[in-house]
Amino acid sequence: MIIECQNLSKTFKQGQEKVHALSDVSFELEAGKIIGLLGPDGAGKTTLMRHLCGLLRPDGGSVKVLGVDSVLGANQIQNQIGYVPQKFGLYENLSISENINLYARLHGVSDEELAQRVPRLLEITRLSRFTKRMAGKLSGGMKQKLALICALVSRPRLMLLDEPTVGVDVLARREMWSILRQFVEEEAMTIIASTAYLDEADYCDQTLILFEGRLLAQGTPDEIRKMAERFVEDPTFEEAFQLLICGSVPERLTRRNPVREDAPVRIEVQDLVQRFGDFTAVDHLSFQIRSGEIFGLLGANGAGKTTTFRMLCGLNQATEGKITVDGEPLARNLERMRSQTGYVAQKFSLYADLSVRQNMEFFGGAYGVRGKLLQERIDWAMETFQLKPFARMNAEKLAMGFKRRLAMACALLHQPSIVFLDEATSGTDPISRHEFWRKILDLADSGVAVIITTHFMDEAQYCDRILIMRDGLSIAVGSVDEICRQGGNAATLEEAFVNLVT
Amino acid sequence: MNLRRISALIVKEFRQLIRDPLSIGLGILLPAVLLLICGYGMSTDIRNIKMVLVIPETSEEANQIAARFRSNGFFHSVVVHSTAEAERMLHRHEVDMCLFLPHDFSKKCRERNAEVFLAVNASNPSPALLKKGYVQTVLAEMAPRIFSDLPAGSANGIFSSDGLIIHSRQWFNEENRSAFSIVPGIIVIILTIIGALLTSMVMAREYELGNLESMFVTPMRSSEILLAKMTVNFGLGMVGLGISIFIGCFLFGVPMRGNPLILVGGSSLYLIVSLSIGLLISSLTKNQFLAVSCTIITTFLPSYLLSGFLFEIKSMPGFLQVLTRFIPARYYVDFLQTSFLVGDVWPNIIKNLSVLAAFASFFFVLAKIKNPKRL
Repeated sequence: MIIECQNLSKTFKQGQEKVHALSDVSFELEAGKIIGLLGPDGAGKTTLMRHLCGLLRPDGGSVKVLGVDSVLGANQIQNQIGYVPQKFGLYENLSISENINLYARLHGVSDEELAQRVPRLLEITRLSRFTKRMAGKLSGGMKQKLALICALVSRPRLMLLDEPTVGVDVLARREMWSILRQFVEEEAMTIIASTAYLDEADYCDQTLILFEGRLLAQGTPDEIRKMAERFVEDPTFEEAFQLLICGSVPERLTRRNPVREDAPVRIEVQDLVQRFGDFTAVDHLSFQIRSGEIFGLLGANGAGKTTTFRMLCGLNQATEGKITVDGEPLARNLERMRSQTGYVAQKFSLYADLSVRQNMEFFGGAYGVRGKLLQERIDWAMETFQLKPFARMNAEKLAMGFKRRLAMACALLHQPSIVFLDEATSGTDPISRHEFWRKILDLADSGVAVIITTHFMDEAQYCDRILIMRDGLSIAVGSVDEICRQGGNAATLEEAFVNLVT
Repeated sequence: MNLRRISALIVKEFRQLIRDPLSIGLGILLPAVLLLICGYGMSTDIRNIKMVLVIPETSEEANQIAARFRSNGFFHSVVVHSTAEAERMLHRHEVDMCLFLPHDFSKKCRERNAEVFLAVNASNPSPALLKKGYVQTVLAEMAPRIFSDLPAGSANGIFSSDGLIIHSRQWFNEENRSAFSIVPGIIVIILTIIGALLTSMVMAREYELGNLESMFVTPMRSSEILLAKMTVNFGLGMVGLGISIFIGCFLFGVPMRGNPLILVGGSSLYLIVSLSIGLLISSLTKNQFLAVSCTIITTFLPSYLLSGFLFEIKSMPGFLQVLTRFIPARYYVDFLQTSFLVGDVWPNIIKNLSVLAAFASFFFVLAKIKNPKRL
């Protein structure tokens, strides 16, 4: 057993209150596998990782890593393992090779071994060409790979990776997992990687499912999925997770009121161009979004999604081309357009020390909803998002899922007819996410146009139509099925996406 | 401790330092800029004193006095005849002081019973005192010429009734040049900034960026990273010290009467105290903004205000005087001023440096304890 974890508990004090980051977690892991530590934000993944490296002391229970107790033998463990924390641990003003050399020397890797190993690592991660570049000038995916090299350079028997795929696009995520697989096979290494993206479970041999500090299940991805078989046909990993959390599998989400062919066009984009100096970020993009439609904007990092999004919101002025809203040019109707728009981002902008009700009053007021109407809308939001019991609680004290509901409620108080979602549900637990999308689908059913940008194919699944961008160009438009066909008759949206953008 | 690891960390610190414009600025530009601004601007020397002489009745003695002030480089003097006009000028701040000669000045001089009246604008008391002193000096120098039968040097006699004669001489800073006392003070400030402020920032930054989290999961010891940071910032502090000494001695002509080696040795000790405080603060706060605020309040401001560099410790209220005993900068200011202006005074050197050594070991051990390899 490479890891034995017995009744591990950890509480953190947060002001007056105690937060149970881990409660009574027990598991054993065998060597030579990729183990996925899956759970939404705030499940206790990072706390568990830090215990495994001896960086935190348990309040109860014990952890043995490589046969050594994590408190008594913290140094011994730290000498033998590789660890990549969520924040990488790279020095931004050191170059790639300087970062690698630093970690190699700290790990006591000899110069001969270093000379032998580093070119291979650079080759596998395709960083060979950039060795002189400063770490601060690398993209998120490249930083992640460099951090991996720094931890791998000492040939550790055990690698711990804390969310190695957070914030990077599908391509970079696939590459990361295939690199990890290569090391497990070539060097008989054991890798524990945490992730909040449940669709990544299939890259792992074993999964540990963590939720609110408790270990819900341990098993291969197939074993986990099988648990939900008596509830639904051909269950997804997410459905199994939902089962583990609340004991049942919620109904699959479908549109009750699909978009009609003759639905009016709300937003029309024609030959949209955005140039920054010589660089063309968006290149003659055209599309239409109809009333009641959920429209997804997909693409790898740097494809032009964000730029397009900003132009649609009126934050950037287009270099060329036209955006019309309800047949009128956007530039001349910004004020009106904004009063009809709701916006929910991944990092929601709530005021932490205002109560739930005060947050709603503020955001409602900011959108010009006042008096009796505002009170009615707040009542509606409290009801719809089940926030009533928390009305007087400060936003910072809300659990993650409730914060998201509040953010959504705040964005909908002024009854917008166009809603923008920017990676709105990544990192959310499957239950809240299910509820969240139910609300979005209801909105679309009632005729609201919904525009989303996302890296996550899970979110993209709910779109009526998807536009995939590469290098500022539109390379595919259509429904999920049509995109799959265009992407070489791929079985999944992710596969189709990868085929299209590479 | 492992030499290979420490050297790898020192190389890393050094590279980060030379690539960080802020550090270079603090190490090299700051000493130069501070010295030039303070050396020229913070001077407490007084020149261009505007004075009005009230001479109601022209006489040879009065003319001699007027001529004397006119030719003196420290004064801009004008002569008026009416007291009322002089008073008006003083009220309007057109002049800093009035010197009134009596009607019968000439006669009184012959009777050796001359009295003059001096009115000084004392809104700012210390400069007023200095200006008064200047006038007294000038008049004292005048006396033997007016009373030709008096021996030189007994001049004050005509202005003091009891016949007490004061011979004064300024020691250690004969020309009364402010730069001489400011340069050692600036060196204290610079070593405090580089030692405590810069060090607390770079260490807190490691915590903030999360780099320590991955560094801790290596065989590295926490004392090794502390040592590497100290080594590199120590070097930077020494560069700052060198620049300050160079500018101080060659541009402002500050004498270096003590042994330069002892001066550098004592400064290293103070730098180590500052570095240890910086490391301690950063490992307690783990946040750059907090670290900087704490460092400014606990080290930088006291090194200005409570070290005896700007304000005389002996004239502070009792509890502040007690407080200054816990400010390392106080001992260093004393050591530096003695080293520059007086020479090697061994009892002074031993006292100050042993206190600094005690501070250094105390803070370093504390920093080591407060930097466990845990989060």
